[in-house]
Amino acid sequence: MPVLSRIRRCCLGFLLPALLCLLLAHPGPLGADAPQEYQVKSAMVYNMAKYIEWPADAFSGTGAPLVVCCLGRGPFTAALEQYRGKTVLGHPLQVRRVQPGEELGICHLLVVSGVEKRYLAGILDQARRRSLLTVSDQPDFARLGGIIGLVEIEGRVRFEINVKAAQQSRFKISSQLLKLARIVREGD
Amino acid sequence: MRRPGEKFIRNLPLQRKLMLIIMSCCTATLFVSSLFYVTREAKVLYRDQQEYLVSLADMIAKNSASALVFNDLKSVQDTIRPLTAKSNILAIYILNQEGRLFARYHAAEAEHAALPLEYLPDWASADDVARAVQQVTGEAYTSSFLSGYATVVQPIRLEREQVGTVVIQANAKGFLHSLRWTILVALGFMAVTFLVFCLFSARLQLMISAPLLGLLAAMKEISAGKNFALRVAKPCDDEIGMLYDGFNDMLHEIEERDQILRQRQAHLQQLAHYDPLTRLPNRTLFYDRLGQALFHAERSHEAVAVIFIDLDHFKDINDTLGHRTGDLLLIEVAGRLGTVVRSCDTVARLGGDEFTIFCQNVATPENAALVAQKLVTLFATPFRLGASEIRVTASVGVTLYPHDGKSVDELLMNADIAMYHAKGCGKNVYSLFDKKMNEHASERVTLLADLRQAIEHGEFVLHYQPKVDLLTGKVTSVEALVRWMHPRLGMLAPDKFIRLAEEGGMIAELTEWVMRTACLQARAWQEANLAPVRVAVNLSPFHFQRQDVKQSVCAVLGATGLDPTLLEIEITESALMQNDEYTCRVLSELRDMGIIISVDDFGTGYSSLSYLHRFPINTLKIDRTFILNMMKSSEDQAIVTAIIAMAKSLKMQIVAEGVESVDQLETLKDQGCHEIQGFLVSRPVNAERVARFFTDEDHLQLHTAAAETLEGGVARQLVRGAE
Repeated sequence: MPVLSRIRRCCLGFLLPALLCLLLAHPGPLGADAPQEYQVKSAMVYNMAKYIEWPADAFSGTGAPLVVCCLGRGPFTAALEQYRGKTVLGHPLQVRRVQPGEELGICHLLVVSGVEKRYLAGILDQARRRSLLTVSDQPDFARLGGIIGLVEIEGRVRFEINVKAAQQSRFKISSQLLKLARIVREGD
Repeated sequence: MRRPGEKFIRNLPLQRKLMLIIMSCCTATLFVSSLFYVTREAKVLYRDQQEYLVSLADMIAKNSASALVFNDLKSVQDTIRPLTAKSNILAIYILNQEGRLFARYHAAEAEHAALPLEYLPDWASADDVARAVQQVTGEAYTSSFLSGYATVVQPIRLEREQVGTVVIQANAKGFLHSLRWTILVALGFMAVTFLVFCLFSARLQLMISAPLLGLLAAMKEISAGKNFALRVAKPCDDEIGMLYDGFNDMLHEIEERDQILRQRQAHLQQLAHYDPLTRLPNRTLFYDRLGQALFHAERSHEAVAVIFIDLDHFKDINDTLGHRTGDLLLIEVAGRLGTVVRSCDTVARLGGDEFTIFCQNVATPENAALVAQKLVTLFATPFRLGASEIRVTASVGVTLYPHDGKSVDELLMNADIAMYHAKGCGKNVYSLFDKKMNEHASERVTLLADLRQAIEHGEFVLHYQPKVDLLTGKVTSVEALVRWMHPRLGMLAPDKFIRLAEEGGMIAELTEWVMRTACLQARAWQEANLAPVRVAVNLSPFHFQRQDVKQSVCAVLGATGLDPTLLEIEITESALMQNDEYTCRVLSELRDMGIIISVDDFGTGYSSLSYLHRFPINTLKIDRTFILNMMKSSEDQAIVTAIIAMAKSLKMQIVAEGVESVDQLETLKDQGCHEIQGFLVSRPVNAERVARFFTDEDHLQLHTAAAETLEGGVARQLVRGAE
C-alpha cells in the first residue's frame, strides 16, 4: 500500500500541474482539432449559459449537472467537449452527443449544428416541450423557433435571441446578454 | 562641541527665553497634532477617492463583463463612454482575459501627466500590459500626491472567474485640492493657535519672569542708590519667594555691616580730626580750616587772628597731681576757651597744653588783643576739679594775617614765638607778635646751636657754693653750679641755658659732664689733703626720664673713684613727683650706695607731703623765696618754721638757700635749721676759691660777730641757745 500510495502521490504531483496546464491553456487540446470558428462558438455557448436562468424545476438540486446535448454533425460537439466539468451557476457541465429522435429528457441545453433544415422543426418542437435552451449556428435558427442562434456578422460571431421562444420555454435571459444580442421573432 | 545657536539662546533675556521654551513646546505639539490631522485627512481623502474609483471600476466591470466575454468591443465602449464624461477620469482601460488591451479611453483634456498605460500600443503583449499595470498599482499611492493621478485596478469577474481587468486612471486634482485645503486649514489653525500661544506665553512667562525682574529692578535700585535699608516684598511662596527672602537676608546683613562700617568711619574721622580728650579739632583739622580761612580772607581782604595759648606750669600740675587731673584740667580749659570765641572761629588743641584759636574777619589788631585779653582773664577764676581747686594761668601769643605772616606755618610759628615772649614776660599775659620777637626767637635758635657746640667743646666751668653747718660754721658740702663760658656773650648762668638744654635734649650730657667734673674736683681736693667735702650736683627732671640715672652716676663714680658718700644729688620737687615709682627706686639704690639725696627748691612745687617719708630723702633745701621773704612776711616765716619742724620730725637735714643776711641766719639758727647756703657765706665761686673755705675755721663767726655788735645780747643769746 505505501508503495502504491507513493506512486499515486507521485503521479498526482506530476499530473496535477500538467492537468492545470491543459486546463489553463485555452483553447484546450481537447478541442484543438476543432476549427477556430467552433472554438469561439463553443465558448459563446458556455458563456451564454451563465446569463440564462433555467426554470426552477429544470434541475434536481444545486449540484445537479447541466447537461449539454449536441445534435448533429460537425465539430461543434468536439469543441464543446473542452468545457466538460466546468460549472455554470453551480452546475457542472456535461456534454452529450444525441441522435435525432433520441429522448432529450435529461438535456438542459441543446446545441444543434449541421442538421438538415427539415428536421429542425421537429427538434425544436421536442425541445420546446422539454423546455430546453436551444442554441444553433444554423442560419435563421431563432426565426425558426430556436432560442439562440449564432450568426456571423461582419466576420464576427454574433447571436440572435428569440425572446418569445425563450419566454415560452420559461427561460429568463439576462439583460446583459440581451444587450449584446440581436432580438428576433419567429417568422421574421 | 558648542552648537552655534546656543550662545545666542543663552544670552537671550529671561522673558524671551521663557517664551521661547513655552512657544517651542507648544509649536512642537501643534506641529505634531497638525501633522497627524493632515495625515489622517490625507488618508481619508485618499480612501474616498479610491473608493469612488473602485465603485466606478466595479460598475464598469459589471456592465462590461458580458461584452468582454462575448468579445463585443462596441458594447464595451458603449459601457464606458458615459463614464468618460466625468471630468476627473483621465483614462479607462479594459484588459481581456488574456491580459491584452481590449478597450481604452483617454480623456480629451490634454493636460495631465504621462500615464504609464497611455503609450502602450493596442497590440502590446500581455506581459507588457501586465508590467504597466503592475507599475501603476505599485505607484497608486504616490502618484496621487506626486504625479497628480490616481489609479485603480479592478478585476472583471463573471461567475468568480476573472474575465478581464479594468484600469481607471483619474485626475487626483480633487484629492490634492482637498488636501491642499486641509493643509491650509491646518496651517491657518497653526498660525492662529501660534498667535494665541504667543499671547498666552507672554502672559504665562510673567509668572516666573515678573518676580525675577522685580528682584532685579530692586537690586539695581539698591546698588545705584546704596540704600541697603530697602526690602523687597515677596510675591509668592515658591523658590522665587525663597530667593526674595535670601536677598532680604543679604540686604539685612549688608545694612548691618554698612552701619558698622559707617560708625567706624565716623569714629576714624573723629580720631583723625579731633582730639579725643577735649573733642576739639586736632592739628590736622586746624591746619585745614585755617588754610581755608586764609584762602577766604585773601579773597575778601580780611584779617585773621591766630592765637596760641600755652598753660603755664602745666607740667608741674601733671607731675604733682597726676595725669588724670591734668587731663581734666585740659577738658575744663577747652570748655572755657569755647565760650570766648564766635561760632566762626575755631578752637583746637595742638597737643600737650597747647591750644590754638583763629578768629576770622578781625577788623583791627586791637580786636585781636581784646580776644587775647579775654582769653587771659578766662584763667583768673580757678578751675574746680572734683574737690580741689586749681589755679592755672596761660600765656597767649597772637599773630595777624596778613600782617604777621601769609602761610599757616608762618602764622603758627609766629604765634608760638609771641606766646614764648609772653611766657618770658612773666607768664599769665598775652603778647602780640612783633617782628623783633622773631629776631629773639632766632637768637634762641642760635643759642641752641651754640649750646650743642659748647657741650662738644666743653665750654663750661663749674662754680661751687659752699653750704655751712650752722652749729660749727664749717663747710659741709659745696653745690656745683654750671657756668657757660660763651665765646661771644661771656659767662652765662644756668637759668639762661638749662631750659634750652632740656628742650634741646642735651641735658643728660650736660649733667654727666657736671657730675664728672664735680667728682673729679672732689677727688682733686681729697688728693690735695683738704678736709673731705661733699659735692652736690643738680639732676634735671628730664634726666630722670631717661631712666639711666643710676648707670650714669655709677659710671661717673667708677671713672673718678670718688667715695659715693662724698656725692650729693639734688633734685627738684617736681622731678621727685614725676614717674615716682622709678624715681623712688633709683634714689633708694643711690642712697644705699651712700649718696646723699637732697630736695631742691622745697616748698615751690605742688607736692603732697605724704610722699616725703616714702622717698629716701636726706635733706630738704628750703626755697630761697621763703628765706627772702621770711623777715617781711610772717606767713613765710611760719612756712619756714613748719618745714623745719617737719623735717626734723622726719629726721631730715634742713638747708636754707639764699641766706643773704645775718638776720636770716640768726632766725634760721633759732628755728633749728642745720645748714645754710647763700651769699652770706659765699657766692658760687670757682674750685680754687671755694677750696679756701675747706678749713676748720668757723665761717659764720665773722657774721655772728658782726651781728653781735649790731644787736648785742640777742645774738649772743642766740649763739648760746644754739650751743
